[in-house]
Amino acid sequence: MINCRQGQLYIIGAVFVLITLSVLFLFTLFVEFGSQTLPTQSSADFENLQNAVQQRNSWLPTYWYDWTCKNKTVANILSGYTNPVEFDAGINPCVNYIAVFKLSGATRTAITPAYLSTSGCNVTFNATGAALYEIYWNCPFVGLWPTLDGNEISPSKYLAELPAEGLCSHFSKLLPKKNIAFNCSAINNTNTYNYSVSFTATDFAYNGSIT
Amino acid sequence: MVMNKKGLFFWVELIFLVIVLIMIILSFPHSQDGFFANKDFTDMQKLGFSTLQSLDNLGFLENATNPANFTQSNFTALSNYIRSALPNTISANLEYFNGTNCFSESSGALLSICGNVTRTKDTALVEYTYAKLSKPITIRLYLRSILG
Repeated sequence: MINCRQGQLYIIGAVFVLITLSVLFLFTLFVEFGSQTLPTQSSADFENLQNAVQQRNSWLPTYWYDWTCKNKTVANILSGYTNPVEFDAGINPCVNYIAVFKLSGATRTAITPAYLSTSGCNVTFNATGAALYEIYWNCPFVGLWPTLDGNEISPSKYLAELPAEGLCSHFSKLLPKKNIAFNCSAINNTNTYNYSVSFTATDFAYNGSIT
Repeated sequence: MVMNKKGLFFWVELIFLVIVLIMIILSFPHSQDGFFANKDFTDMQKLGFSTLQSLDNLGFLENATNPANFTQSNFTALSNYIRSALPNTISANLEYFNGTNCFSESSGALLSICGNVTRTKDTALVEYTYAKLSKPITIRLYLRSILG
């Protein structure tokens, strides 16, 4: 039979055990979750902006080879042609410098020499296989271009303009709809852009540059 | 000096007090449940963003896109790439936003309203701006776990 003094000892022990368990429980509860914070929607929006800047700056040098030229035509020349090939690349004006490159994946090979046709603005050059060819035009004036007529072909093609920085205007339309104050300017850095950004949301803010 | 010795019932009452305190603490609002719910939501957003980022890095988005005219892109391929990259347990709706208008997932047709998607409170919105185009496009992805 347990006497009163022994029983009291057990109960004191039980109280200490309960208090210890409670403290441990509370400790694990708050240490595990209390120190963690979840990202906000605003920080996700900023991450999107940051990623877009990085993606665009890595893409621009691969997309546009000669930043002195304002336009380019990409033509898909199929097999069965006879050199020199001549086609309408949409060049206008046709008195300035042009440059022709053959595209093999991400690799460009310069095609030289390249000519304009004797009449009109067709481009003439010796193709080196069925592939995509880039014709850069509307470049700084370097004098009259040599002329040569070739064998006319009609490749599928598209015309493109030198890409602007693009992201400031895009995000300026996207972010204010989410109550995010956004100011942005871009400075050209050879063939990429440095962005100066002010991004202010209720729970997240950034003021600085992104490259 | 009088020693005030604690009796048996003092300790019994103390045990009850501790038990009652524990019960009160346990009956607090379950903030950890809210944490987990928010974490699931955030995880889904991160999954959507990293999925689109991976497709972008691997060139899938670029290959399916017409660089000169986005509306002439291969929307079937874009949709297939994005949906295939997501787990089967997540339902997805998506649309494209060019800074002015929204375009449909299936054909790139101009939509009269942006975000005209049935959304419940557990629908996570993911925005990924696809910048490898002359004019950037934001892909809006509405994700929801079909497991609830």
